[in-house]
Amino acid sequence: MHGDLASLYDRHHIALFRFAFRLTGNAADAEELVQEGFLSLLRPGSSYDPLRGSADCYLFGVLRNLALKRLRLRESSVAEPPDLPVVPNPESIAVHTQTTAAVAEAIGKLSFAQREVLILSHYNQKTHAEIAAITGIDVDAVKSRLYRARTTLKHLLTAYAPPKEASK
Amino acid sequence: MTDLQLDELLDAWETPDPSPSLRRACLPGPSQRGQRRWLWLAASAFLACAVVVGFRVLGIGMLGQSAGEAAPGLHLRVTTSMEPAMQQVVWFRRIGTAGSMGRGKLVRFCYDRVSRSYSGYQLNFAPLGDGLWSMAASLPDAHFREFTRIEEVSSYRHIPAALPPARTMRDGDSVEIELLDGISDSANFRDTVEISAAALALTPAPNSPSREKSEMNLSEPRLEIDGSPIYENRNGYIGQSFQIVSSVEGRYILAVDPKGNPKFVEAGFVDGQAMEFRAGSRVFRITASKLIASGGRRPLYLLHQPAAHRSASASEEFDVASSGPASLF
Repeated sequence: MHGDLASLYDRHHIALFRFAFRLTGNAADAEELVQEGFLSLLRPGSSYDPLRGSADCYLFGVLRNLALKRLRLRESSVAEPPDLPVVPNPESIAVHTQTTAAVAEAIGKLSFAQREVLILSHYNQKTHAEIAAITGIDVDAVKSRLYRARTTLKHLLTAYAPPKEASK
Repeated sequence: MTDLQLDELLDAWETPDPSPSLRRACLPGPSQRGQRRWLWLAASAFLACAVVVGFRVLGIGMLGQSAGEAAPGLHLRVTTSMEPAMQQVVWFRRIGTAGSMGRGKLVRFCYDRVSRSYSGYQLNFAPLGDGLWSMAASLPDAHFREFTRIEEVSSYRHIPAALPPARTMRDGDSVEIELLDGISDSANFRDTVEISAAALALTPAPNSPSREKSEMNLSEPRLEIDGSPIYENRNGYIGQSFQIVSSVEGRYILAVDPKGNPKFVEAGFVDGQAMEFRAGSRVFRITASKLIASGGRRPLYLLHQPAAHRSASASEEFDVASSGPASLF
Protein backbone atom coordinates (compact mmCIF):
# COMPACT_ATOMS: atom_id res chain seq x y z
CA MET A 1 0.00 0.00 0.00
CA HIS A 2 2.82 2.35 0.85
CA GLY A 3 4.44 1.79 -2.52
CA ASP A 4 1.15 2.40 -4.31
CA LEU A 5 0.55 5.53 -2.33
CA ALA A 6 4.07 6.78 -2.97
CA SER A 7 3.60 6.23 -6.66
CA LEU A 8 0.27 8.01 -6.55
CA TYR A 9 1.84 10.85 -4.66
CA ASP A 10 4.70 11.20 -7.13
CA ARG A 11 2.32 11.33 -10.05
CA HIS A 12 -0.28 13.70 -8.69
CA HIS A 13 0.88 15.73 -5.75
CA ILE A 14 1.95 18.78 -7.73
CA ALA A 15 -1.32 18.97 -9.64
CA LEU A 16 -3.26 18.47 -6.44
CA PHE A 17 -1.25 21.07 -4.60
CA ARG A 18 -1.74 23.61 -7.39
CA PHE A 19 -5.45 22.90 -7.44
CA ALA A 20 -5.67 23.35 -3.69
CA PHE A 21 -3.50 26.46 -3.79
CA ARG A 22 -5.71 28.08 -6.39
CA LEU A 23 -8.82 27.15 -4.47
CA THR A 24 -7.56 28.46 -1.16
CA GLY A 25 -4.99 31.06 -2.21
CA ASN A 26 -2.70 29.84 0.51
CA ALA A 27 0.23 27.42 0.29
CA ALA A 28 -0.04 26.25 3.87
CA ASP A 29 -3.73 25.50 3.51
CA ALA A 30 -3.06 23.82 0.19
CA GLU A 31 -0.48 21.50 1.70
CA GLU A 32 -2.80 20.64 4.54
CA LEU A 33 -5.54 19.76 2.08
CA VAL A 34 -3.20 17.58 0.04
CA GLN A 35 -2.02 15.85 3.16
CA GLU A 36 -5.56 15.22 4.32
CA GLY A 37 -6.43 13.96 0.88
CA PHE A 38 -3.72 11.36 0.83
CA LEU A 39 -4.35 10.35 4.40
CA SER A 40 -8.00 9.84 3.55
CA LEU A 41 -6.96 7.00 1.29
CA LEU A 42 -5.49 5.21 4.27
CA ARG A 43 -8.37 5.88 6.58
CA PRO A 44 -10.40 2.84 7.56
CA GLY A 45 -13.64 2.98 5.66
CA SER A 46 -12.18 5.16 2.93
CA SER A 47 -14.78 5.72 0.24
CA TYR A 48 -12.26 5.33 -2.55
CA ASP A 49 -13.27 2.57 -4.93
CA PRO A 50 -10.95 1.96 -7.91
CA LEU A 51 -13.89 0.54 -9.84
CA ARG A 52 -15.77 3.82 -9.60
CA GLY A 53 -13.06 6.14 -10.84
CA SER A 54 -9.42 7.04 -10.90
CA ALA A 55 -7.52 7.79 -7.75
CA ASP A 56 -6.56 11.25 -8.90
CA CYS A 57 -10.20 12.19 -9.52
CA TYR A 58 -11.03 10.82 -6.10
CA LEU A 59 -8.27 12.95 -4.58
CA PHE A 60 -9.40 16.07 -6.44
CA GLY A 61 -12.87 15.40 -5.09
CA VAL A 62 -11.62 15.00 -1.53
CA LEU A 63 -9.64 18.23 -1.78
CA ARG A 64 -12.54 20.24 -3.10
CA ASN A 65 -14.78 18.89 -0.36
CA LEU A 66 -12.24 19.81 2.28
CA ALA A 67 -11.70 23.23 0.78
CA LEU A 68 -15.44 23.84 0.65
CA LYS A 69 -15.79 22.76 4.24
CA ARG A 70 -13.10 25.20 5.31
CA LEU A 71 -14.63 27.96 3.29
CA ARG A 72 -17.98 27.47 4.94
CA LEU A 73 -16.38 27.64 8.34
CA ARG A 74 -14.77 30.93 7.49
CA GLU A 75 -17.56 32.49 5.50
CA SER A 76 -19.56 33.51 8.51
CA SER A 77 -16.94 36.09 9.40
CA VAL A 78 -15.84 37.14 5.92
CA ALA A 79 -17.79 39.66 3.94
CA GLU A 80 -18.37 38.97 0.30
CA PRO A 81 -15.96 41.08 -1.74
CA PRO A 82 -17.57 43.64 -4.02
CA ASP A 83 -18.02 42.50 -7.57
CA LEU A 84 -16.06 45.32 -9.17
CA PRO A 85 -13.66 45.36 -12.09
CA VAL A 86 -10.03 45.12 -11.10
CA VAL A 87 -8.26 48.31 -12.13
CA PRO A 88 -4.54 48.13 -12.81
CA ASN A 89 -2.19 50.55 -11.16
CA PRO A 90 -0.70 52.68 -13.96
CA GLU A 91 2.38 53.38 -11.87
CA SER A 92 3.33 49.77 -11.64
CA ILE A 93 6.02 48.44 -13.89
CA ALA A 94 5.75 44.92 -12.57
CA VAL A 95 3.22 44.04 -15.20
CA HIS A 96 3.48 40.31 -14.91
CA THR A 97 3.23 40.33 -11.15
CA GLN A 98 0.36 42.73 -11.32
CA THR A 99 -1.45 40.60 -13.85
CA THR A 100 -0.87 37.50 -11.80
CA ALA A 101 -2.27 39.19 -8.73
CA ALA A 102 -5.23 40.48 -10.68
CA VAL A 103 -5.99 37.05 -12.08
CA ALA A 104 -5.71 35.47 -8.65
CA GLU A 105 -7.93 38.13 -7.17
CA ALA A 106 -10.49 37.85 -9.93
CA ILE A 107 -10.68 34.07 -9.62
CA GLY A 108 -10.95 34.49 -5.88
CA LYS A 109 -14.06 36.56 -6.45
CA LEU A 110 -15.84 33.75 -8.24
CA SER A 111 -18.22 31.64 -6.26
CA PHE A 112 -16.67 28.43 -5.04
CA ALA A 113 -18.78 26.45 -7.48
CA GLN A 114 -17.55 28.47 -10.44
CA ARG A 115 -14.01 28.71 -9.18
CA GLU A 116 -13.47 24.99 -8.78
CA VAL A 117 -14.84 24.28 -12.25
CA LEU A 118 -12.71 27.00 -13.82
CA ILE A 119 -9.55 25.78 -12.06
CA LEU A 120 -10.12 22.13 -12.87
CA SER A 121 -10.82 22.96 -16.47
CA HIS A 122 -8.19 25.54 -17.23
CA TYR A 123 -5.32 24.71 -14.90
CA ASN A 124 -5.76 21.02 -14.33
CA GLN A 125 -6.95 20.24 -17.84
CA LYS A 126 -9.78 18.05 -16.66
CA THR A 127 -12.54 17.12 -19.07
CA HIS A 128 -16.12 18.12 -18.39
CA ALA A 129 -16.91 14.51 -17.47
CA GLU A 130 -14.01 14.37 -15.01
CA ILE A 131 -15.05 17.68 -13.46
CA ALA A 132 -18.58 16.38 -13.14
CA ALA A 133 -17.27 13.31 -11.32
CA ILE A 134 -15.08 15.36 -9.03
CA THR A 135 -17.67 17.95 -8.12
CA GLY A 136 -20.68 15.68 -8.08
CA ILE A 137 -22.70 17.62 -10.62
CA ASP A 138 -23.76 16.72 -14.14
CA VAL A 139 -21.86 17.67 -17.27
CA ASP A 140 -24.36 20.29 -18.34
CA ALA A 141 -23.99 22.03 -15.00
CA VAL A 142 -20.23 21.95 -15.44
CA LYS A 143 -20.51 23.62 -18.81
CA SER A 144 -22.90 26.20 -17.45
CA ARG A 145 -20.72 27.07 -14.48
CA LEU A 146 -17.64 27.22 -16.64
CA TYR A 147 -19.33 29.58 -19.05
CA ARG A 148 -20.49 31.86 -16.26
CA ALA A 149 -17.07 31.80 -14.64
CA ARG A 150 -15.31 32.77 -17.82
CA THR A 151 -17.83 35.49 -18.56
CA THR A 152 -17.32 36.95 -15.10
CA LEU A 153 -13.56 36.81 -15.46
CA LYS A 154 -13.66 38.57 -18.80
CA HIS A 155 -15.57 41.34 -17.14
CA LEU A 156 -13.30 41.53 -14.11
CA LEU A 157 -10.11 41.42 -16.13
CA THR A 158 -11.09 43.71 -18.96
CA ALA A 159 -8.37 46.20 -18.09
CA TYR A 160 -5.73 43.51 -18.38
CA ALA A 161 -6.71 42.13 -21.74
CA PRO A 162 -3.63 41.49 -23.82
CA PRO A 163 -3.54 43.08 -27.26
CA LYS A 164 -5.53 41.04 -29.70
CA GLU A 165 -2.59 40.67 -32.03
CA ALA A 166 -0.75 38.93 -29.22
CA SER A 167 -3.55 36.44 -28.90
CA LYS A 168 -3.25 34.03 -31.70
CA MET B 1 -12.19 40.02 -24.49
CA THR B 2 -11.87 36.83 -26.49
CA ASP B 3 -11.54 33.37 -25.01
CA LEU B 4 -7.95 33.23 -26.16
CA GLN B 5 -7.16 36.50 -24.46
CA LEU B 6 -8.73 35.22 -21.27
CA ASP B 7 -6.75 31.97 -21.48
CA GLU B 8 -3.59 33.96 -21.92
CA LEU B 9 -4.38 36.00 -18.85
CA LEU B 10 -5.25 32.95 -16.79
CA ASP B 11 -1.94 31.37 -17.72
CA ALA B 12 -0.19 34.24 -15.98
CA TRP B 13 -1.24 32.88 -12.59
CA GLU B 14 1.49 30.53 -11.55
CA THR B 15 1.68 28.78 -8.24
CA PRO B 16 4.55 27.96 -5.92
CA ASP B 17 5.75 24.39 -5.64
CA PRO B 18 4.82 22.38 -2.58
CA SER B 19 7.48 22.08 0.06
CA PRO B 20 9.66 18.95 0.07
CA SER B 21 8.32 18.07 3.51
CA LEU B 22 4.86 17.52 2.05
CA ARG B 23 5.86 14.08 0.89
CA ARG B 24 6.79 13.06 4.39
CA ALA B 25 3.49 14.38 5.69
CA CYS B 26 1.48 12.52 3.07
CA LEU B 27 3.11 9.12 3.20
CA PRO B 28 2.94 7.74 6.70
CA GLY B 29 4.00 4.30 5.55
CA PRO B 30 6.32 1.81 7.26
CA SER B 31 9.48 3.81 6.72
CA GLN B 32 7.68 6.96 7.65
CA ARG B 33 6.21 5.65 10.82
CA GLY B 34 9.55 5.40 12.50
CA GLN B 35 10.37 8.93 11.57
CA ARG B 36 6.99 10.19 12.57
CA ARG B 37 7.40 8.45 15.85
CA TRP B 38 10.77 10.04 16.26
CA LEU B 39 9.33 13.44 15.53
CA TRP B 40 6.50 12.83 17.89
CA LEU B 41 8.67 11.62 20.70
CA ALA B 42 11.08 14.43 20.35
CA ALA B 43 8.37 17.01 19.97
CA SER B 44 7.19 16.00 23.36
CA ALA B 45 10.49 17.12 24.78
CA PHE B 46 10.13 20.57 23.42
CA LEU B 47 6.52 21.35 22.86
CA ALA B 48 5.07 24.19 24.85
CA CYS B 49 7.38 23.42 27.66
CA ALA B 50 7.66 26.59 29.66
CA VAL B 51 8.62 24.79 32.79
CA VAL B 52 10.33 26.74 35.44
CA VAL B 53 8.39 29.92 35.89
CA GLY B 54 9.94 32.28 38.36
CA PHE B 55 13.46 30.99 38.05
CA ARG B 56 15.77 33.95 37.73
CA VAL B 57 19.50 34.14 37.30
CA LEU B 58 21.16 37.51 36.78
CA GLY B 59 18.01 39.00 35.32
CA ILE B 60 17.48 36.15 32.90
CA GLY B 61 14.17 34.38 33.18
CA MET B 62 14.00 30.78 32.16
CA LEU B 63 10.82 29.98 30.30
CA GLY B 64 11.50 26.35 29.58
CA GLN B 65 14.10 23.68 29.39
CA SER B 66 14.47 20.25 27.88
CA ALA B 67 17.27 17.75 27.56
CA GLY B 68 17.93 14.70 25.47
CA GLU B 69 20.37 12.78 23.32
CA ALA B 70 20.83 14.05 19.78
CA ALA B 71 23.32 11.38 18.75
CA PRO B 72 25.36 8.70 20.50
CA GLY B 73 27.66 10.61 22.80
CA LEU B 74 26.01 13.94 22.11
CA HIS B 75 23.61 15.17 24.75
CA LEU B 76 21.88 18.51 24.47
CA ARG B 77 20.13 20.72 26.95
CA VAL B 78 18.05 23.51 25.48
CA THR B 79 16.99 26.40 27.65
CA THR B 80 14.55 29.02 26.47
CA SER B 81 14.95 32.25 28.37
CA MET B 82 14.03 35.90 28.32
CA GLU B 83 16.06 38.90 29.37
CA PRO B 84 15.28 40.83 31.43
CA ALA B 85 13.04 38.55 33.45
CA MET B 86 9.88 40.62 33.48
CA GLN B 87 6.27 39.52 33.65
CA GLN B 88 7.35 35.95 33.27
CA VAL B 89 3.94 34.51 33.91
CA VAL B 90 2.58 36.58 31.05
CA TRP B 91 5.32 35.38 28.76
CA PHE B 92 4.95 31.88 30.02
CA ARG B 93 1.41 31.94 28.67
CA ARG B 94 2.53 33.44 25.40
CA ILE B 95 5.66 31.53 24.50
CA GLY B 96 5.71 27.94 23.41
CA THR B 97 8.36 25.74 21.90
CA ALA B 98 8.33 22.70 19.69
CA GLY B 99 10.87 20.66 17.84
CA SER B 100 12.73 17.42 17.62
CA MET B 101 16.08 15.98 18.51
CA GLY B 102 17.88 13.00 17.05
CA ARG B 103 20.11 11.78 14.25
CA GLY B 104 22.63 14.47 15.04
CA LYS B 105 20.06 17.19 14.51
CA LEU B 106 18.17 19.60 16.71
CA VAL B 107 15.11 21.19 15.12
CA ARG B 108 13.57 23.89 17.17
CA PHE B 109 10.68 26.31 16.96
CA CYS B 110 9.76 29.00 19.43
CA TYR B 111 6.46 30.76 18.99
CA ASP B 112 4.39 33.54 20.45
CA ARG B 113 0.70 32.85 20.67
CA VAL B 114 -0.27 36.52 20.91
CA SER B 115 1.61 38.06 18.01
CA ARG B 116 1.22 34.80 16.10
CA SER B 117 4.83 34.60 15.12
CA TYR B 118 7.55 32.03 15.31
CA SER B 119 11.25 31.55 14.86
CA GLY B 120 12.84 28.29 13.84
CA TYR B 121 16.30 26.96 13.48
CA GLN B 122 18.14 23.73 13.04
CA LEU B 123 21.52 22.69 14.41
CA ASN B 124 23.32 19.91 12.59
CA PHE B 125 26.08 18.12 14.45
CA ALA B 126 28.71 15.88 12.88
CA PRO B 127 31.36 14.00 14.87
CA LEU B 128 34.95 15.06 14.32
CA GLY B 129 36.50 12.59 16.77
CA ASP B 130 38.11 13.18 20.15
CA GLY B 131 34.82 14.46 21.52
CA LEU B 132 34.61 17.28 19.01
CA TRP B 133 31.54 18.07 16.98
CA SER B 134 31.07 20.37 14.05
CA MET B 135 27.95 22.45 14.43
CA ALA B 136 26.19 24.20 11.57
CA ALA B 137 23.04 26.23 12.05
CA SER B 138 20.40 26.72 9.41
CA LEU B 139 16.72 27.30 8.96
CA PRO B 140 14.76 24.12 9.65
CA ASP B 141 14.24 21.61 6.88
CA ALA B 142 10.75 21.06 8.15
CA HIS B 143 7.84 23.44 8.50
CA PHE B 144 6.60 24.74 11.83
CA ARG B 145 3.18 23.21 11.37
CA GLU B 146 4.67 19.72 11.36
CA PHE B 147 5.54 20.18 14.99
CA THR B 148 2.51 21.80 16.42
CA ARG B 149 -1.19 21.41 16.60
CA ILE B 150 -1.85 25.11 17.02
CA GLU B 151 -5.02 26.04 15.29
CA GLU B 152 -4.56 28.40 12.37
CA VAL B 153 -0.85 27.74 12.33
CA SER B 154 -0.79 29.00 8.77
CA SER B 155 -1.48 32.50 10.03
CA TYR B 156 1.75 32.56 12.03
CA ARG B 157 4.44 34.75 10.54
CA HIS B 158 8.05 33.75 10.50
CA ILE B 159 10.62 35.85 12.32
CA PRO B 160 14.07 34.64 11.31
CA ALA B 161 16.24 33.46 14.18
CA ALA B 162 19.71 34.96 14.50
CA LEU B 163 21.71 31.95 13.44
CA PRO B 164 25.17 31.49 14.94
CA PRO B 165 28.12 30.83 12.63
CA ALA B 166 29.31 27.26 12.11
CA ARG B 167 31.84 26.20 14.70
CA THR B 168 33.50 23.29 16.40
CA MET B 169 32.06 22.39 19.79
CA ARG B 170 33.09 20.10 22.60
CA ASP B 171 31.74 18.85 25.90
CA GLY B 172 30.70 21.83 28.00
CA ASP B 173 30.30 24.30 25.15
CA SER B 174 27.09 26.15 24.46
CA VAL B 175 25.62 28.23 21.69
CA GLU B 176 22.93 30.88 21.81
CA ILE B 177 20.26 31.57 19.24
CA GLU B 178 18.27 34.79 19.42
CA LEU B 179 14.58 34.27 18.74
CA LEU B 180 11.37 36.17 18.08
CA ASP B 181 13.07 39.48 17.53
CA GLY B 182 10.69 42.38 17.90
CA ILE B 183 7.76 40.76 19.69
CA SER B 184 8.56 42.75 22.81
CA ASP B 185 9.89 46.28 23.18
CA SER B 186 11.67 45.43 26.39
CA ALA B 187 12.70 41.80 26.38
CA ASN B 188 14.84 39.51 24.26
CA PHE B 189 14.33 35.80 23.86
CA ARG B 190 16.86 33.15 23.17
CA ASP B 191 17.61 29.48 23.24
CA THR B 192 20.84 28.33 24.84
CA VAL B 193 21.95 24.93 23.63
CA GLU B 194 24.51 23.18 25.80
CA ILE B 195 26.29 20.07 24.64
CA SER B 196 27.74 17.29 26.73
CA ALA B 197 29.20 13.85 26.31
CA ALA B 198 27.09 12.65 29.23
CA ALA B 199 23.39 13.01 29.91
CA LEU B 200 22.45 16.47 31.10
CA ALA B 201 20.05 16.90 33.97
CA LEU B 202 17.42 19.56 33.98
CA THR B 203 18.31 22.59 36.03
CA PRO B 204 16.70 22.28 39.41
CA ALA B 205 14.20 24.95 40.26
CA PRO B 206 14.57 26.95 43.46
CA ASN B 207 13.16 25.14 46.43
CA SER B 208 9.77 26.34 47.39
CA PRO B 209 7.15 24.40 49.29
CA SER B 210 4.39 25.20 46.83
CA ARG B 211 6.51 24.30 43.88
CA GLU B 212 7.71 21.06 45.42
CA LYS B 213 4.10 20.14 46.05
CA SER B 214 3.05 20.70 42.48
CA GLU B 215 6.10 19.74 40.46
CA MET B 216 6.18 16.62 38.34
CA ASN B 217 9.18 15.06 36.70
CA LEU B 218 8.90 12.80 33.70
CA SER B 219 12.14 11.05 32.86
CA GLU B 220 12.24 8.60 29.98
CA PRO B 221 8.46 8.31 29.96
CA ARG B 222 6.53 5.44 28.47
CA LEU B 223 2.86 5.79 27.67
CA GLU B 224 0.42 2.91 27.52
CA ILE B 225 -3.25 3.10 26.69
CA ASP B 226 -5.33 0.17 27.80
CA GLY B 227 -2.14 -1.78 28.29
CA SER B 228 -0.79 -1.19 24.79
CA PRO B 229 2.51 0.67 24.50
CA ILE B 230 1.98 3.88 22.55
CA TYR B 231 5.02 5.96 23.20
CA GLU B 232 8.39 6.11 24.90
CA ASN B 233 11.41 8.33 24.79
CA ARG B 234 14.70 8.89 26.55
CA ASN B 235 14.20 12.53 27.38
CA GLY B 236 13.07 14.15 30.57
CA TYR B 237 10.99 17.13 31.51
CA ILE B 238 9.85 18.97 34.58
CA GLY B 239 6.58 20.79 34.83
CA GLN B 240 3.70 21.65 37.10
CA SER B 241 1.41 19.83 34.76
CA PHE B 242 1.65 17.65 31.70
CA GLN B 243 -0.48 17.43 28.67
CA ILE B 244 -1.20 14.54 26.41
CA VAL B 245 -2.59 15.71 23.11
CA SER B 246 -4.58 13.31 21.01
CA SER B 247 -5.44 14.18 17.44
CA VAL B 248 -8.82 12.57 18.04
CA GLU B 249 -9.69 13.18 21.67
CA GLY B 250 -8.15 16.60 22.21
CA ARG B 251 -5.95 17.57 25.11
CA TYR B 252 -5.62 15.94 28.51
CA ILE B 253 -3.93 18.18 31.08
CA LEU B 254 -2.66 16.39 34.18
CA ALA B 255 -1.57 17.80 37.50
CA VAL B 256 -0.99 16.58 41.02
CA ASP B 257 -1.80 20.04 42.31
CA PRO B 258 -4.85 21.56 40.60
CA LYS B 259 -4.09 24.91 42.26
CA GLY B 260 -7.72 25.26 43.16
CA ASN B 261 -8.79 25.23 39.53
CA PRO B 262 -12.28 23.70 39.57
CA LYS B 263 -11.96 22.57 35.98
CA PHE B 264 -9.66 19.80 37.10
CA VAL B 265 -11.25 16.61 38.36
CA GLU B 266 -9.64 13.70 40.11
CA ALA B 267 -9.17 10.97 37.53
CA GLY B 268 -6.33 8.78 38.69
CA PHE B 269 -3.19 8.66 40.74
CA VAL B 270 0.55 9.20 40.76
CA ASP B 271 2.59 6.68 42.63
CA GLY B 272 6.35 6.56 42.52
CA GLN B 273 7.43 6.16 38.93
CA ALA B 274 3.97 5.70 37.49
CA MET B 275 0.83 7.66 36.97
CA GLU B 276 -2.48 6.45 35.68
CA PHE B 277 -5.80 7.99 34.80
CA ARG B 278 -9.01 7.06 33.10
CA ALA B 279 -10.53 9.15 30.32
CA GLY B 280 -13.77 7.87 28.89
CA SER B 281 -13.36 4.16 28.46
CA ARG B 282 -9.59 4.26 28.16
CA VAL B 283 -6.92 3.89 30.80
CA PHE B 284 -3.76 5.94 30.28
CA ARG B 285 -0.63 4.90 32.15
CA ILE B 286 2.72 6.64 32.09
CA THR B 287 5.79 5.12 33.68
CA ALA B 288 9.10 6.93 34.12
CA SER B 289 12.62 6.04 35.15
CA LYS B 290 12.53 8.40 38.14
CA LEU B 291 10.09 9.51 40.77
CA ILE B 292 7.33 11.49 39.08
CA ALA B 293 6.09 13.42 42.10
CA SER B 294 7.01 13.60 45.74
CA GLY B 295 4.74 12.52 48.56
CA GLY B 296 3.94 8.90 47.79
CA ARG B 297 0.66 7.94 46.17
CA ARG B 298 -1.26 11.08 45.31
CA PRO B 299 -4.41 11.89 43.37
CA LEU B 300 -3.97 12.87 39.76
CA TYR B 301 -6.22 15.62 38.45
CA LEU B 302 -7.38 15.85 34.88
CA LEU B 303 -8.70 18.62 32.69
CA HIS B 304 -9.93 17.29 29.36
CA GLN B 305 -10.30 19.80 26.54
CA PRO B 306 -11.87 17.76 23.73
CA ALA B 307 -11.71 20.53 21.15
CA ALA B 308 -8.12 21.55 21.74
CA HIS B 309 -5.51 20.65 19.18
CA ARG B 310 -7.61 18.15 17.33
CA SER B 311 -6.68 17.46 13.78
CA ALA B 312 -8.04 15.54 10.86
CA SER B 313 -5.23 13.03 10.74
CA ALA B 314 -6.07 9.56 9.56
CA SER B 315 -5.15 7.81 12.77
CA GLU B 316 -4.92 8.91 16.35
CA GLU B 317 -1.57 10.45 17.14
CA PHE B 318 -0.26 11.82 20.37
CA ASP B 319 1.93 14.56 21.66
CA VAL B 320 3.12 14.86 25.21
CA ALA B 321 4.44 18.06 26.72
CA SER B 322 5.13 19.65 30.02
CA SER B 323 3.03 22.63 30.99
CA GLY B 324 2.67 25.28 33.61
CA PRO B 325 0.66 25.48 36.81
CA ALA B 326 -2.90 24.20 36.69
CA SER B 327 -4.13 27.67 37.60
CA LEU B 328 -3.19 28.84 34.11
CA PHE B 329 -5.80 26.72 32.37
